[in-house]
Amino acid sequence: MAGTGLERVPDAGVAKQILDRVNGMNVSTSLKALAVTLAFAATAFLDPLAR
Amino acid sequence: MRLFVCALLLHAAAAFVAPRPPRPAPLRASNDFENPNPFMKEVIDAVPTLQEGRTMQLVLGSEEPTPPSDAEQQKLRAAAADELRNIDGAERSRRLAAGRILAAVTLLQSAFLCASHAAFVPRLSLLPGLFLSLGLYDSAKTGL
Repeated sequence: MAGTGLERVPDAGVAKQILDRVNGMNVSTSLKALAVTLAFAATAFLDPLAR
Repeated sequence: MRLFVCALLLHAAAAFVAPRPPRPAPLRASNDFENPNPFMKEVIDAVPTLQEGRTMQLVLGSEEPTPPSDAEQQKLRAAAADELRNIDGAERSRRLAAGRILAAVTLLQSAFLCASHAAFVPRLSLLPGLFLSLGLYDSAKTGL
């Protein structure tokens, strides 16, 4: 938790929902980063000078 | 670079092996919430700067906040609960700025990799910078 007044969550239900959102965001960010990285790395096959 | 990655991995591994100082207070307001992911709970508990009552500074840092009145705190908590977010505007701005800087660095790295005709595997080195910049940007956008 961060921010003045936000250091404690109001209740466990909200904490669980926030945690689920954080987990979802982490998964989607990881997949996005992985997809872009693989696409970028694959451009090496288009470069005849790549070694 | 290799040395840096090795040092980072060793540091992360040491966090699990080394005895941790006891947390002065549980990371929750009431005793009825427990992180259902035991691995992530271990990871979060291993970060000494993340403690209840401290405010986050760019993900891993923290500082002692100067809290406003109780009524104002209740209002802020209610607003955060409504929007299902757990970081405030100042931290979101910090994360956006850090995400932009990292994105610029990642872009420069990709330009360097292209210019040096790097092969497939070296180009995968873009992942950490890209993940962090995207993560910071998403975090700033969603308030999580």
